[in-house]
Amino acid sequence: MSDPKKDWLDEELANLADIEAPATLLPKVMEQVGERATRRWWVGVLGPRAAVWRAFVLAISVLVFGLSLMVNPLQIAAHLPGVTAVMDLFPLLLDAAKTALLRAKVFNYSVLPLLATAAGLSYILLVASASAIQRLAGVRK
Amino acid sequence: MIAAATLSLSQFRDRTGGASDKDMAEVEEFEMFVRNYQNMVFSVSARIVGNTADAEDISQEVFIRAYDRFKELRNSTTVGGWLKTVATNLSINHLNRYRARWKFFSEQTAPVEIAIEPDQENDRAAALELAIQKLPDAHRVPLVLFHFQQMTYEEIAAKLQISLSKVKSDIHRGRETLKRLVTK
Repeated sequence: MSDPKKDWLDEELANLADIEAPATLLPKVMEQVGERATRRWWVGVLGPRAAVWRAFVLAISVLVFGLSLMVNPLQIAAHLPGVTAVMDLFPLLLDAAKTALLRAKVFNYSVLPLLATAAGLSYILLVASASAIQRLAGVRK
Repeated sequence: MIAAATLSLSQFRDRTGGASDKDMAEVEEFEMFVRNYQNMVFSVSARIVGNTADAEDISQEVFIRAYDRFKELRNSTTVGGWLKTVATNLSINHLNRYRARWKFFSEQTAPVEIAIEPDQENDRAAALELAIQKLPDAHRVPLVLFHFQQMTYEEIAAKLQISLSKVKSDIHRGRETLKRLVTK
């Protein structure tokens, strides 16, 4: 017996068949599935748990930072054999490098300003190249 | 459609030269899964968003999510319900991105005029389907959730974050429009 509250529209809506999906849907889905199936295994393992891994790495970093505040690593290292000699060598090496940079000259110019200028120019070139590549990629889209 | 799907699988084989037989078997099983459920998922999305292009994108997203959980879903008895729920949620999220448009339509009371194509004049089901698609978003979405997803008024109100009385009046208005258009 049919429900008297239901009218012809209810019946027609209930009898409506599914709409046929476009023929392009299945190939599109399978193409994406193919991309996912060929991803490296670790992307599959780490990918879905990215938030957990981020939290884990952050927790370890905080722990290491906290330990480094409580314990001086240099103090502990000083007790290890051979470490004292290496630690004594560091200031000597730094002094030698400082002297070389300040006193050495290339065509009557000091090495330090030359190196600083070269580093600055390289940085500017790098930023300009990255910006140009980004702009070109944007234009291609 | 079968030709297109077969082509997709052969493309997949070419691409995954190093894939194991197990992976291939899983992909083939997934392809069968998509074939079985694609019309259902597409219908849910198309009826909610009201256009086939967006519905295809949403259906694609639903199946990609299904692939990520295929190990759980393949033997599940509630897979149809899961797919319908994900398709519904993604479709509503899609409409919510255009919230301003949604609000505009919800205030609109002008009657909807639908041009039914000549070859569909005698096909009531096609005319009804077309009429549903042409309803304003604010009338169509609650009506589809009520009639096709079997959701209660309260569930629809909670999902769309609107009042219960608005849900009832929107469904009523949608039904009246459908009746008028289909019996013309």
